[in-house]
Amino acid sequence: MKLQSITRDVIHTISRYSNWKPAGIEQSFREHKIYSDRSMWLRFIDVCLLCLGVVFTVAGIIFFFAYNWQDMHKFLKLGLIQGLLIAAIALVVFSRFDVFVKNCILCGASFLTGALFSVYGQIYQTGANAYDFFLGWTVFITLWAVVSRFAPLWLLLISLVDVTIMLYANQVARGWSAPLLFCILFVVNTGCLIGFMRFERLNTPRWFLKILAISAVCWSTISIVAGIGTQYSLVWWISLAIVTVMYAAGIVYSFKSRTIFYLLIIPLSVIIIVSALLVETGDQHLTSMLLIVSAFIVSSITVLITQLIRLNKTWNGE
Amino acid sequence: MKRSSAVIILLNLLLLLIYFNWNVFEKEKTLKQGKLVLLELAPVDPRSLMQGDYMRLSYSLVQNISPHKLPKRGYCVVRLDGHQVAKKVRFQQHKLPLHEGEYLIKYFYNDFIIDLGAGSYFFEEGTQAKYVNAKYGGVRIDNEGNSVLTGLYDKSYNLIK
Repeated sequence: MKLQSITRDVIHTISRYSNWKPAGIEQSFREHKIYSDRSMWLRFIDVCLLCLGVVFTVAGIIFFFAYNWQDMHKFLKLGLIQGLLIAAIALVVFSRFDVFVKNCILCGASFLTGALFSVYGQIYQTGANAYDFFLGWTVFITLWAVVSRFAPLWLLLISLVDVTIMLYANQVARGWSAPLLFCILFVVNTGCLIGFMRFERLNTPRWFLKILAISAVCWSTISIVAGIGTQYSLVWWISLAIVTVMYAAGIVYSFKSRTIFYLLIIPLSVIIIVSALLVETGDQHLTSMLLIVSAFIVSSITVLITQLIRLNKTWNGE
Repeated sequence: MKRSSAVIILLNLLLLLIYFNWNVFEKEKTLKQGKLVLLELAPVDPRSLMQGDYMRLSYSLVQNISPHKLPKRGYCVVRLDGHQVAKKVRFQQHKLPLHEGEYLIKYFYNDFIIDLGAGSYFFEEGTQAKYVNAKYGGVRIDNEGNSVLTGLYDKSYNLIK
């Protein structure tokens, strides 16, 4: 049993069953950083204003171009965005800001790269090659993301990779079935997730890992559900095998490391898949099958929630 | 900022700028030296014609063809009449064979429509009235079959300014 971190709940519980004075309680709230002190508030305001600044700057640039589209020479448009990009990178490399500020500017630069490619696409009316556009954008921010080790930038990169894979399937490859495409997306996203979990020293924030996990589970669910009801192809069986192995691994990992999160999303995905299977098998007697599916969803979710609450109590003692 | 990170960030920026401007240069070359070809516009659904500040284009060259076995990316071979208007000869996957007087335009096909590149024409809001009479889309093509849309032309083959 690991030693518990002092949380608000713990202090409340102790105070309820002891003659702890209110002043003392307040004192311990301050000591354990449950009440934010002045420096934490300042830091919070700093980060908020900085993020807002970056977002407004990039949005302002995009609107500026949209508004003055006709009156500017095309080389001026391209030159301006490239100038801004160079200025942003110069700030990142040569200024004396702290690392967090530099990373925010680098994020802005990554969005500007997308704006640059899209302005190019508009000027030269490149039409339907959205795949080329996203591929270029992805390739040219990869190194920045790797160097910066900054979670929001990683998130942008992985989203772009996903979009690029989808567009590749649509525009270049022929005849990729839905199970195949989404299985590939699942493998890519899960690979990223495991990679980030392995390298502890990257100290990736937990929200980022959770978003990655949710996206991976979404892709796997779509991959399996999309293949139900069509002819069960070899690809679907392979996809099913991969997903089953990964889910099992995820569950084992959760019990070993005592994390509730994967025990929530993996069963949820399984419930969706089983429901789809039930609906598919019962297409002759649809109404009765819908009733059965509803009953299954209600009961399985109930079981899942009660079990999770029980686990949470034993693991986290709340 | 570590020196190595700084070097990588700068190097990446340099590569990006080189790649990008080389692309711009290629497009400009096509615009200057490419062969002007007029593609007849097929009527598009008027409701989707004017959405803010662009006009959807659809070329009669590739209308009413039900290509089931076309490769996803390939070339549309055309001949030009006296007014530079393109007439389709055939579709092929590679640049050859190519006879005298034939030109290549890259196409891109996604199981429903054949796209010759420029699917829409952007213009300033409020100027749509003059583009209603557009009958041809003017593209410049290079020897590789790359096309750049230069503007729209009316029925007497004049550029709409």
